[in-house]
Amino acid sequence: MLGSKVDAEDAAQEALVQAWRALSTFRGESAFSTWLYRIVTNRCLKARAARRPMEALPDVLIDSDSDPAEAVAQSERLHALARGVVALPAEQRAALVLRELEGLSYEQIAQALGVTVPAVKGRIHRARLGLLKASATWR
Amino acid sequence: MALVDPSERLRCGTKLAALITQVAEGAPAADPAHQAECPYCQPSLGRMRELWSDVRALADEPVRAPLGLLDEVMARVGGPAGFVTLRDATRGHTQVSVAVLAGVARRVAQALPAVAFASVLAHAAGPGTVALRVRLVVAYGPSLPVLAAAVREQIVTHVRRLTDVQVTEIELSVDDLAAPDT
Repeated sequence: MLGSKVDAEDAAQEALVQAWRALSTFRGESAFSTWLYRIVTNRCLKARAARRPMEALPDVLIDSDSDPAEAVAQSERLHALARGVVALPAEQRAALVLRELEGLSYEQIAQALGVTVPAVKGRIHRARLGLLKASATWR
Repeated sequence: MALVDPSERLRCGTKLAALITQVAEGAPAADPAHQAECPYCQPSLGRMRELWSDVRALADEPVRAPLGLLDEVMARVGGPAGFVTLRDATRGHTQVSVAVLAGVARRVAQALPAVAFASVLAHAAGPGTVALRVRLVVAYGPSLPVLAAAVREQIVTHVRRLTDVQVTEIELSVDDLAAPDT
């Protein structure tokens, strides 16, 4: 979501503190996890908006059970993919990350982002298309 | 991407969106017979499957919360937000824990005959002020708006009297009716 481990740790901490303080406003209208996703996502989007554009530095990605050459190749592909995700517009990226990486349903994503389900579907579709087009340059 | 024209259809007329959904969501193919033979669909599907296998690998990356995250968070929520600093600081500051304020509010609410049980969360709203979330289980009978007003009135008065902290807001919910014998 943020493309940087340090920023992600800051965002996680800020979001948990915020969630703790806002706990009394949680009204049980959505699942607790969805509520928390909403706080974390908003925190990330705010952090991104406040920051100048920067190069993405994904955390080291290693697949330990394949052979070394394949592991290096995969690691490079995953880095490129992570950069591709970070390069997406923030709204698309948030929806895509919640869907593909966190495995949320469209309904849950709509609640987390505060938009409608069709809007979520549109964003995810555009994000996937963007990734697919970008992937042509790194494969 | 060479295989895609601007209307997001492959040259064979298949919608790119349909193929993406098929690969990314595991949806059934709209036209399996065409797809199996099509020189445009096949390479596209191949590329998408490779990409999504990477997406899934990325999703499977273990993510561990950083060491000390919980400690940091607890230190912060237990710090400034966990205490209300009283405004009268003529000879040093006095801090009152939000747990104390919540406890006072709970006892005050429970002292009302119509309140069988009260639960209170408090958080500091600023210097000398606190906001409360009060949940009640009440006896059957009294008018709830009248009871709610009485609870607010009593809490504000007593918290002020005992701690000199001003209650800025009371979010109140009546969660249940007490069983007749309680």
